[in-house]
Amino acid sequence: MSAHERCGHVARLLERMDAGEALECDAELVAAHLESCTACGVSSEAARPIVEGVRGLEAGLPDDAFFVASAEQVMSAVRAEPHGPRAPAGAVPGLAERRGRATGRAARPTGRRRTRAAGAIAALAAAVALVASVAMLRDRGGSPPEVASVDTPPASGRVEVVSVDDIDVDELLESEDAWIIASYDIFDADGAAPSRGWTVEDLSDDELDALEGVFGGAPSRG
Amino acid sequence: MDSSKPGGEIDDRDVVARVQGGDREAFGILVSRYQKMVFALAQRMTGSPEEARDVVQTSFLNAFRQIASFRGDASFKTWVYGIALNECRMLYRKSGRTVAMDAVADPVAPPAGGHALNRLILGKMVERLPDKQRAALVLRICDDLPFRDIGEILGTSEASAKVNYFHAVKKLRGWMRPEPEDEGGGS
Repeated sequence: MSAHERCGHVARLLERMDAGEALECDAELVAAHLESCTACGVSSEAARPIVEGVRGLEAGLPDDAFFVASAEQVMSAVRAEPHGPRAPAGAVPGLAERRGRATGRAARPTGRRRTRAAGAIAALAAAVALVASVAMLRDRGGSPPEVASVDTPPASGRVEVVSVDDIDVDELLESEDAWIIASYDIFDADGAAPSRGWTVEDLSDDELDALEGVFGGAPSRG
Repeated sequence: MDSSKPGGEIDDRDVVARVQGGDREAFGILVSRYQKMVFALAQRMTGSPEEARDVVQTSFLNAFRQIASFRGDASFKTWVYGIALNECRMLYRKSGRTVAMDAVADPVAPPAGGHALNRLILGKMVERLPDKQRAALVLRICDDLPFRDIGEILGTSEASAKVNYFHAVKKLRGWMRPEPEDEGGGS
C-alpha cells in the first residue's frame, strides 16, 4: 500500500468512526499513521497553529472567593448525604473491571430509598429499543437480589429476556441514549405496573451485580 | 505517581483512604485541591462558566458517593476528570446540544484570510467536535495529559485516545483551511 493509499485508508476509517462504528481494533494502526504522516497534517509541527489556537481559547478562572463558596457548597451537600460512600461493587467477577473502564460514568444516585424490592433491567439489541426487563426481588436486609420472576410478565407486558451473548454490557452500562433510558422501567416485586422510567444510572450496585447474574443465569429464582 | 504531593502535603491516596474510612471532612481537601482544574475543564467543554460551576458541584458530589470504588489505579485527578466529563456530556444531552454528525460535516466558515486563527471561530469549531474528540483535544492541549491518562478518563485505550485527538486536530485543520481558489493563490 502506498503512502497515499494509507492516508486514504485511514481517512475512511476515521469516517467510519464518525459514523459510530467501533474502531478499537484499528486504533493502533490509525494512531501510528496519524502520528507520523506529514500529509495528514496532524503531526506535531503541522498541528502547531491548532494547538496554539486552542490554548488561546483558555478562559480565565473566577476569583478565589468563588471557589471558597463553591467548595463550601460541595461540602454542605457531602455532609447532607444520607449515606456515606457506597461500598465498592465486586461481588461479581468481571463487573467491577467493566465499570472501571467506564471511568467517566457519573455516579448513580445513592440517596434513593427503595424500600420495596424492585429492579428492572433492559438490555440492548441491534436495532430494537426495548429488549429486556426483568423484575428482581431485593431483600430488605441487604442480601443479593434474586430474580423474582421472568416468566410472569408484569402489567406492562414488556418482558423479553435475551441471552447474555446478545448484550454488550459495557455499552449498556455506559449508555445514556434517550431510547435506552426510555426502555428502563422499575416494577414492584409483586408485578405492579412500572412506576416510572429509570436509567441504568439509577440502578444500585446490587442490581448491577445482579445484571450479570440475571443474564448469565446464575441467580436463584425467588 | 502524580498523587504524591511535595512540601509535606497529604497524599491524595491517604486523603481518599480517610474519606473511605468515614471522614467526610477530609473530602474537602480533595475539593480544594482539584476544583479549579475541574472548573477549567468544564468551562472548556461547555463554554459556560455557569454550567462549569454546576459541573463542579455535581462532579464532586458524585465523586464522594462513588469514592468507595476508587482504588487508586489511576490518580484522583484522572478519576474526577472522568466524572466531570461525563457530567458535561449529560449536560449537553439534556440541553439537546449533542453534536450531530451532519453538523460536524458542515462547519462554520473558515476565518477570513485563512491564516490567523480567529479565536471566536476556533471556539465554535471546537464546540462542534464530538464529545470524545473535544475532550481528547482539551485534555491533551490544555492539561498536557499523556494519552494513557486521557484514555483512562475517556474509558478508551491509549491508541483510541490518540485517534480521537488526531481526528479532532485533522478536522479543525480542515475546517480552518481556506477553500482553494483558482485565482489569487494562497501564500
